[in-house]
Amino acid sequence: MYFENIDYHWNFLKQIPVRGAIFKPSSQNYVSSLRRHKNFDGEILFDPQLYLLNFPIILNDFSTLLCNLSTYPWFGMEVSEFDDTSCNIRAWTKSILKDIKNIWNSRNDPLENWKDTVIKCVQYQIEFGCSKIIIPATAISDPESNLKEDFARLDSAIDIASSLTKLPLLASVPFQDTAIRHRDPNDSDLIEAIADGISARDNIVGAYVLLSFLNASEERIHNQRIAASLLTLCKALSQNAEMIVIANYLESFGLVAQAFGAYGYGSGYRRKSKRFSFNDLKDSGGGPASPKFHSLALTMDFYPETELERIRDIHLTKYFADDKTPSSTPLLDQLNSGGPVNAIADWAESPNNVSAARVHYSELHTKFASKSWTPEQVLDWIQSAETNWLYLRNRFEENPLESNGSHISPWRSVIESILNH
Amino acid sequence: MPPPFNPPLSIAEIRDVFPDLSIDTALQPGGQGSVFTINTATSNKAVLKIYSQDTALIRIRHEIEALKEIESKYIVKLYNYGEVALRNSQLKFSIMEYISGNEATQLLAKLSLVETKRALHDISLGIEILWDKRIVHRDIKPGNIIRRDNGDFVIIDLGIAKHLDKTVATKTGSWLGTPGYMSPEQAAGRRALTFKSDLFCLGILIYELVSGNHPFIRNQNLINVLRTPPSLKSFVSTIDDSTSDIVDKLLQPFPLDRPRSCREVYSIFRG
Repeated sequence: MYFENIDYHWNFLKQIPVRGAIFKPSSQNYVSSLRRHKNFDGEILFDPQLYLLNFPIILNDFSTLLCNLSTYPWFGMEVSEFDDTSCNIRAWTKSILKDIKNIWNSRNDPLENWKDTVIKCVQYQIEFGCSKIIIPATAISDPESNLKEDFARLDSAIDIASSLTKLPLLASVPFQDTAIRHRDPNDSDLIEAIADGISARDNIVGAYVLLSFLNASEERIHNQRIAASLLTLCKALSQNAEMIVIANYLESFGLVAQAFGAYGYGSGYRRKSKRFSFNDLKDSGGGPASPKFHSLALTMDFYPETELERIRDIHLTKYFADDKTPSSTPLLDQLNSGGPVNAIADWAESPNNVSAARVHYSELHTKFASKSWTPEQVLDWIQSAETNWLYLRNRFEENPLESNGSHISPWRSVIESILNH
Repeated sequence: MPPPFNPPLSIAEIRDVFPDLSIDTALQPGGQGSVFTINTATSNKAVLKIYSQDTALIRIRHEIEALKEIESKYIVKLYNYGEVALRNSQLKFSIMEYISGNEATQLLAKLSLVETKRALHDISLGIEILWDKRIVHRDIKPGNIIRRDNGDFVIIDLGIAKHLDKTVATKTGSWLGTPGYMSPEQAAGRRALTFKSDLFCLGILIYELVSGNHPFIRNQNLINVLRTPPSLKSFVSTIDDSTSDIVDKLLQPFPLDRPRSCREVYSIFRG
């Protein structure tokens, strides 16, 4: 199942056919969050993001983030309660931002009063209308982590959450890439210990797995050990322990994870939604974005005019036959008819003209994720993507495409390796 | 193993410090201290254990804290505990249920199929009860299992049982247990163990009880290289398939390949 990572473009949910959405505190304050999502009737998850506190937060660089987080009571920051009789949300958040230095400097450690932290976090998710409750957890960053405290907190949180709700509970497994980057999962105790520990606990239905980077340079996983660790965990929890796994920020690799047992994965059109990179949360805003056509067939994104037209000119739009969605049909038809892409207004490469591209991304992932894939089928898919990408690269060797498929071979290698074990 | 007290504690010494207890006999001392049978006020026979000063306090606390939370016929009962002044020292003591029966070490290759199933049932249930309190016993072996006279199997000696939220009883945090009776993950020093570690040890125990042979010839290194031993059925052809299969599954080197719950073990043998 595909889950759309929702930031603050809440109305977007009305335009796309997705069945699941993941919300989070980093992108919206507490009050706005509660007010805005009400019209979505799909599966709702709210990632409490307690793991953000394990990142090096520099006040001057992350004031907007801190302002948002401070409004959620489980981050240990104290802010004035919103009162709509005396001010609007904008004025309220402005006043918080003005005082954010004091608020941040006088924060309490959420782990010290764990019970209170869990209660507030679970109550919020209930009020938010979540279909499953994600138990908060700190980040796992050390491959040698003994997980003793993590599991003790999990046990306590399970007891507390179970007393508050009958909703299914998911344990959080928030990896920082450093925890799984340097070890083959077959030689690392970490993945097995996590899988063992989670599967041994009765009152949870599975895990919410999240891969995070301090500063990711790529949109997709390139590191084979990271990819293998994630698949190994998905496989262990789902196939061996018959639990559900929802893995966030995997982009198209989420489909691979599904084939290895994951119940669902989270992604989204925007770079920030495809992968979690802490530095994406810095105050500095991004520039205007041009639309990109997402191809699951190649697991890549292409600029419609500057790339797809070139591919069309060598008669290879057949590569994208499976990428057709209601939103991309006009684009692909135009390409196939030999006409210029910029004649299709929704796909013209103009700044911030990304609506159709975003909807297409969600439509495509929803369609593919709703199918049941076997590991052999995803291997076929990735092998085919690799073959096509290598051919394209070869054809455009002198004037390369901007889009890069360098992640495909590592994915293929990992799938093969796991299938061979 | 050197005696915990030298000279050994005498019954007379114990009577002096426990005037209200009726001290019966001195039993073979264990690794942690001297052990006496006593008769309590309610005429129940019990075991008084005086822990030597050499016994790590944290281990004593573990055993006591583990036991005081539990009420089960499959786990030895704790009646009382405290501290007593003896030989110029403050020593810890505990008073536990006296279990009349045979240590499993005396039962090797002597159990009938029904008794084997009962052992699997009772001990896996005991392991589950411990896990409900998030306790991993970490030393399930024939010396720590007693068959009561009524046929029930009981887990004893929670000296190294590990509460997941408490500090482990070693300085290094690893290699506490009995070589040849530790799961691969316990031997590797994993601190976040689960009941599946105890289930692995239960597999060794049952294998040994039924066949008279230790599946890894008591060699911890063989366990650590993650080998699966020959199927129990290959040693004991008379064993039924369900018992053999469950023991083989208990002995899987990876925790996730073992039974998913203790219930999966004991429900097979219920009734």
